Amino acid sequence: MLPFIECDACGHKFFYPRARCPRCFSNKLQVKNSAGVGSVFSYTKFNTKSGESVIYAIIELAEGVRMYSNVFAQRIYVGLRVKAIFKELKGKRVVYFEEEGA
Amino acid sequence: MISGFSGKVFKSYDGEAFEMLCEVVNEALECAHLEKSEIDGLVTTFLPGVVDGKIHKHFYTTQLAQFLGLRPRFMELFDYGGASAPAMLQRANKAVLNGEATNVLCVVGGKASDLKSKGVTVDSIDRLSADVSLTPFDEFFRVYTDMNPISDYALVATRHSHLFGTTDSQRALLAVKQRQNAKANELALYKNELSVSDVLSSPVVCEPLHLLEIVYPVDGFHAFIVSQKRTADLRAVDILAYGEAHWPEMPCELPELVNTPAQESSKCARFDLSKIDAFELYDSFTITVMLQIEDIGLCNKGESGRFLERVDTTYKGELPINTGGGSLNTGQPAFMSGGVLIDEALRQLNYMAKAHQVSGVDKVFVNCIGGWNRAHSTTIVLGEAP
Repeated sequence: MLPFIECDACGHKFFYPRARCPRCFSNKLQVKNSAGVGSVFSYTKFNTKSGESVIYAIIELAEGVRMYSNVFAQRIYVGLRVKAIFKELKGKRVVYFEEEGA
Repeated sequence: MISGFSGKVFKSYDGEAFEMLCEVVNEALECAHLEKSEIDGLVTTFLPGVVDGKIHKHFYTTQLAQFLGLRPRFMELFDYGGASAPAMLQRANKAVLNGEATNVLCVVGGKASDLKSKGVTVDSIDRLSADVSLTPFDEFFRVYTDMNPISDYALVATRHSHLFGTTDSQRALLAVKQRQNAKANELALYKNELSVSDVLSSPVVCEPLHLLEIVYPVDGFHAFIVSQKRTADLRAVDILAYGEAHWPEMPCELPELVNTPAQESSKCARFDLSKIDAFELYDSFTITVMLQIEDIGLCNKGESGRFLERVDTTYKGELPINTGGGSLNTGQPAFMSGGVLIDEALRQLNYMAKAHQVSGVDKVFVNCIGGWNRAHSTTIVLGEAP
């Protein structure tokens, strides 16, 4: 389940949670469940100190909301269709993305 | 009016930050022909870890005034990162014009080496201390593996190429041209010949950004003294235009990644671009300068690559940009370079630039970007008031 927030007062949608809408400041906010699919809006690739290859990206969800994440994929380009996956990181459930077809 | 200035930059300063600062303040006072006791205003900037490695310095302006032995009647603290220096000059000037102070000391800088030795940057200091937050959403944002600030700017570079076809070579050309200026600047750390192919064969740090497109954080301070007093052996340099804008949003929440608040902050000086003799544009990365070239109105959005191919931006050229080589070649003191850009602008205006002097300089346009998310932009045009 990948939640995002929609403001009932002005329709603004956003991922990073606030108690009030950052556009109109209403507290009439609804937590919605995204379909968990989207595409790569932008990406970069680098190696960590331990030599691991990492993709860091901004994902645009189908619902029009964008968020930062790491992507697990063999190939990477702007527009690549991805889907959300969940992994445990230090006891917490974190959302990542992988190629849609994977 | 800027009545005195000084700066010192070190790859790594062996000593305490405040010691380094005293030398710089002393030189600025000598430059302004002022006694320390005549300073009655203090403006400065603080970000966690960048002055002396300490995450926080309680009542920082007090600590600074305490160490320097000042008695100000006006003090102000900025946290715009790289964009702090122009804002500091503007506020200091307003205070002086308002009668709130007579001689204001503006101090910007610190030690990047303290954080670097701990393996973090100013934008990843939250990895060092759980007590520091980068955003209100760290729980959802800082869980990922990134290389901020480099990774966020890499995202911008990727997007710029996607939207406009900007090539690695065009970005590299910016570094090449700035190195040509650096070769003639005695303050530059890097002076070897540099070609596009040299830039592109330097390691890819964070795709698509190569090592030689990325600034090197160093230790240093710059001090500026603002007053209404004309110093005998300096030009009477005033603030001819000033603009400021802040876009604090998470970049992913902006309509696009390739715009900066410089679009708004530069509106104060848009009319005057043809009268500007030199531009100093914040150069944390090659792409940062390219965004500002577009956003201040030197070319249309997306065309900075072609602009760089067509226009001679060296100090001898028709449109000088980063006349001393920029921070890419002189270093980025304390992860923020506003002081470096203002210092270079003042050197140019006062004909102190020696081998890299732009001829006939009367107006210099400085634009500074601050924040890992490019949240802050300050624009300042310096020159003699008519």
